[in-house]
Amino acid sequence: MSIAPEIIRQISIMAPAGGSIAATLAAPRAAPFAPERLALVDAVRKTILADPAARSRPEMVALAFWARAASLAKLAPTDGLTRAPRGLALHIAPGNVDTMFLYSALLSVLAGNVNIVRVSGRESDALTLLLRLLNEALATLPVDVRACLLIVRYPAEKPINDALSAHADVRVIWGGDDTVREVRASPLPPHASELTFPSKVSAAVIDAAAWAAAPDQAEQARRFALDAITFGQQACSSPLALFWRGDAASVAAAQATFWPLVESAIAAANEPFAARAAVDKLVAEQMLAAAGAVHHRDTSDYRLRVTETPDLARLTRLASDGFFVERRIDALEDLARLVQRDWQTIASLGVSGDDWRAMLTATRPHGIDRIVPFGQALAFGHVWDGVNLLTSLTRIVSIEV
Amino acid sequence: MSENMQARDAVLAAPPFALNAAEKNRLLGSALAELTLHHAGHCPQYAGILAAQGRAAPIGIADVPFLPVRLFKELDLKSIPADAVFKTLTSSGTTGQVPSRIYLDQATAQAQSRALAAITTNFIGKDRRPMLIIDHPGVVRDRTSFSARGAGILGMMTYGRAHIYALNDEDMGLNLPAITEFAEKHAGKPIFAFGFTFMVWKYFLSALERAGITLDFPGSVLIHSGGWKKLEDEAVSNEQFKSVALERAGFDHVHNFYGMVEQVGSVFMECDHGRLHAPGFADVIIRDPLDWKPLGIGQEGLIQVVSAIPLSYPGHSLLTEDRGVLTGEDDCPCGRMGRTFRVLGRIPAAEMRGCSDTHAAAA
Repeated sequence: MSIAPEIIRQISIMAPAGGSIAATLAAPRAAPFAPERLALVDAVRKTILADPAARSRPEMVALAFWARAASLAKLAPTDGLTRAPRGLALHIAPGNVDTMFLYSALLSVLAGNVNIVRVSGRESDALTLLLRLLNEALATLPVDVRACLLIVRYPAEKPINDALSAHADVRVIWGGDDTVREVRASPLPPHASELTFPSKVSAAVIDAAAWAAAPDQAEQARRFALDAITFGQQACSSPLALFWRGDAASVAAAQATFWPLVESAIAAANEPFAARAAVDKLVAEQMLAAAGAVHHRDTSDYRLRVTETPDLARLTRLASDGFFVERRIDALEDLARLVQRDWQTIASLGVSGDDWRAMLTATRPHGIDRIVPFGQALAFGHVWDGVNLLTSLTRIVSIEV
Repeated sequence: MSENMQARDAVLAAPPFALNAAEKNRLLGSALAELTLHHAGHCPQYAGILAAQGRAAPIGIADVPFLPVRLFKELDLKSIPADAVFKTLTSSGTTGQVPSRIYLDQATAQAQSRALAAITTNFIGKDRRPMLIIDHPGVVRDRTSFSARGAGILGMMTYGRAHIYALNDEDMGLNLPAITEFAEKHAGKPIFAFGFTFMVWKYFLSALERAGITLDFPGSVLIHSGGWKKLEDEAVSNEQFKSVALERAGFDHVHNFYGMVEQVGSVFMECDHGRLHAPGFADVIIRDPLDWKPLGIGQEGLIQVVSAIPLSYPGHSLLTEDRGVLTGEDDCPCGRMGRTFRVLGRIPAAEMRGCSDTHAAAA
């Protein structure tokens, strides 16, 4: 089975140079963690670290750090089961978080699969940089090795998704509910499996008493700010809301010291300021105020805006680039009532793992996929949205003789 | 209305370009303060927005709280009971976007017409001239639900007589029989032409050029609006627009105006010196998006528009998504008092807005 020329014509090859759909469809699979696959990931890591523009971006540095041999070695399963690649993996990358697709694509490379990755048609400096680096990295590898990772761009049209999906053994869809719905309209072969990463929202929780006692308040505020503003607060894992655990007086005291530190950290990060984002924040805070009694925290400018709402009904992405809602809770159980199915990450400060386990056991909320310390909200893990990607991108061969 | 709206009544009754800065800040400032109180008392969402800001009552024009125009897409905002809605205006927008919904009662609709009359007659004179509508008749056919374009045309029709439409319904082609008859009947006399910027350029002036037709209406006035976005894409400047309008149709006064469906009646008309003028009952403030502080002459920022007209919905002070710059105050060579400004285009990645509706976008 091949892909029709009129479909092929609409697919632009972004990396590697000289790559083609035909070459990738014919590329050899590998054993999970095969040396040539580890070499590919390492080539990407080295290229990032050698590039000054990439080194200046925290998300690129994080990707390179994740791709170290020592950290990858920890991913290899130790259960003694025999694993095989699934075959051809078709990845649909998200448009808003440029590095995210590379984690899942590189995990799939490690799993031994052959990969076609559709990147967003939206131009961004980060994506342009990543594509350049990938091209450089892949150029250092033998032709048959580099063919296992083909980065493409094509119009989001069903006939193209149909054609590529028909070849897929596993399909990985990032990028939100609409993308998942759209790509799902293209059928997969009966044996193929699918991983979806739909729209998610995330929040942060601080224990007010723990904050008051924290010896490193400025550093914690800086980590919170970075969790929020990297990717313009548009990643699934970027906190949109902050829940304060404690009584009214200690929460008020904590808020009064926390936000000015966050404001300084955001100012220090010196991200470009967009009038569009400021208008979005104004719209968001006025919509909240129109719907119920709220309080807008005083901030020195529209790089940071915070609206305190006593009864946050539903956590949604109202604005980005430094917009938060906050409310007080007495106990984690109060939070459980608010958790929706689409809650992903909780960045947590001063709340113990035991408290979280107790809450999760007692209330079994429908959502929440991960609970991480401040500064780790955007740290990609091979377990994501409750799925072990590495396990899902391989299959287990039972050998019972 | 039972409330005291003395300042609003006075500023709406004043001649449109007579108030100097000090008089205007006092009178329009008071009118806007009256309106702020009025809307806080009649529109619960607006009251909530004010309460959350926790600011003192406004004393000057620049102190009046403002709503981003997009709020009228997100929320149904009105200061009148549902049964007092006389007419609902909807904004333009590209397909799939939620339009603004602006609810008018009779008093507001009347104030809009009067305000528009005061400004328009200031530019075209009190005598009604034969009027050439540069659009197709279909745009105003459904009178229960006006598009912004239809509403704009109906509003302007009052200031002309013996109206004809220059374009055909089917294909936006020139309706040459009608235009020819109109030209013969009013040959050599000043007429009044009105249309939306993009429609005038693409379907009228460009079509006349292509067809090699020249019309002759010396002393005529063309008023147009709707935004330059699509013409900028075709690299057409205001100067080029004016010179083609003069050569092809003899329009020697061409006035672009800036206005929006969220503040109908409050139009900022371009004078013969190329400046957009704020009338006495309305004003423009340029704000820095970083902290929303007002900016001075020559500093670029986001355009806020205020108007004494809106009674039925809390739209007397709006932050637009357009960038602009003040060019002066009480000092235009044309002699009109008030602030003048230029519009620099939408802020990046803004949704498509403005007054021309989806036909032009699809064309």
